[in-house]
Amino acid sequence: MHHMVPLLVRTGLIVVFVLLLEYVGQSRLVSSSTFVPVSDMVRSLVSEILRGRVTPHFVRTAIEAASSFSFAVILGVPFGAILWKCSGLARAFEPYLVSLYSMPMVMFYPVFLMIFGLGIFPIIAVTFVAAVIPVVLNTMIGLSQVPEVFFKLARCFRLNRWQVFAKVVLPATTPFVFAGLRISAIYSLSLTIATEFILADTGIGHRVRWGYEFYLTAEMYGYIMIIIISAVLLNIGLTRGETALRKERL
Amino acid sequence: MKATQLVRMPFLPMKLVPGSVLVGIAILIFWLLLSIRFVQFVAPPSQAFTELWLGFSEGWIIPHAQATFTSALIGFGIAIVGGVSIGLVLGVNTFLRNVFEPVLVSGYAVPKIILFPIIIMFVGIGMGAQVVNVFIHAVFPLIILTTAAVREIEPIYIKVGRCFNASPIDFLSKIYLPAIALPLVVALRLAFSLSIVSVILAELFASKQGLGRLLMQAYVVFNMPRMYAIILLLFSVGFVGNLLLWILEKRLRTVAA
Repeated sequence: MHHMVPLLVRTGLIVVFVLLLEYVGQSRLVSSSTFVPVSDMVRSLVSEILRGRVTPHFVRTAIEAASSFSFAVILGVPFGAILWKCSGLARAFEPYLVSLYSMPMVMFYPVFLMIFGLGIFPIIAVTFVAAVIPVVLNTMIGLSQVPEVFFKLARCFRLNRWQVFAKVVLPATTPFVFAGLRISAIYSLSLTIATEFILADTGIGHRVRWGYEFYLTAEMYGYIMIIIISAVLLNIGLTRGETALRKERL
Repeated sequence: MKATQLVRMPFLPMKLVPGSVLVGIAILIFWLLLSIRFVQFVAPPSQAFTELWLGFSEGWIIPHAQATFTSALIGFGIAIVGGVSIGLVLGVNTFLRNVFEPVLVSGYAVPKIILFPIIIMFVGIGMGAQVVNVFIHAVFPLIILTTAAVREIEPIYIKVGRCFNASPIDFLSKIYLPAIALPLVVALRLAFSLSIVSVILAELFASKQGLGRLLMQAYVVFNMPRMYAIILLLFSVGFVGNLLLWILEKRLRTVAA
């Protein structure tokens, strides 16, 4: 029972916060072109959903984020493994990889826009560039933290290359690699939405901009709500998955 | 599940080896080859470097660079003060930490750039909006990592402080801050990168001045040398800023070891 108290307080605070926003909206302390009551946000969101205007944008965003994440995993894990195998190569690449981690990759969006034109591809490309870095780094670090004795033991048992990978490397590195994948998944969603928000013709991020530009304040807040809820749910899901993986390993 | 695992910055004991210089040269050659193959999309490195040089000698890039980096630094500075203070409180107080940590971790995962239109509507387009935007991006990792760092302080340090009847100021300056210095630098690296990213994102969306706006203008008129010059400048600033913080981190690691 005792551990429920913080949860109750947290829920209470969130409810109070939402009610406060509702009050501020209702009281017209702030102009209705700037802020609307939460109930209006929900109402406009529901009407947008019922008119079938949310689904295509949501699907588009999901496809973009999932594609760039998949490319990041398919190319990032092997590249991280290669860097781990060839330590000379890794040392040469390190300053760039570590700096790239903190580069505003979105600066390449206009370049990809020129190459691919407006649409799904420039978004996938720029998001991939940002999402692949944590995968490469975490794979490399994860592999380098497998104790040498594991490999010695594998040699004692005369495991072949594939068995070493499946029975030693994979279980030992899963938590690290998964940590990289989780960061990468969150980057994928964030950057997809951010690039849509800057310049795109479809997508949930683009809808926020659309609401802002056409003074559809309630709709804009509605789309912001969808994005926040999706990101929070994705993060909770991934965190649960990671915790389960760690527990299983212990 | 520790919060530090959520917001992680890998540390590699990187050394500048001749190979790194070779990789740099290889990247430049690759860029040159791309510019020859895709003349319509890629400006050659020489043009980008010349344009960047002209930007500073003729001065057209200076007000934009100033706008971008001033708002990034002010927002970053406020986020450090706010984030570390909140992190210290949450690190010391278990109840508050249990209440707020899940909210902060979720907040970290939300793409906060979508709040920028709301900021503009309240504050107006300009440096104020940019500073708020940088602050809300940079403050989350700082709070989360400071909280985690305070939790990992050896309890014996606190006991020793109590034995010496240390004042709150002594506690802060002689025990807490030195004990969390290393994780704090890691948090600073992450927050620094988020500051730059968020200011560029917001400038690409809507701004009066700034490198992001200049980049978007260059894209609209297909001025490729200028686009690549701005990318080059942003890349260099990110590289140098990251390198400086990394050197600081390395120094702290040697002191700690």
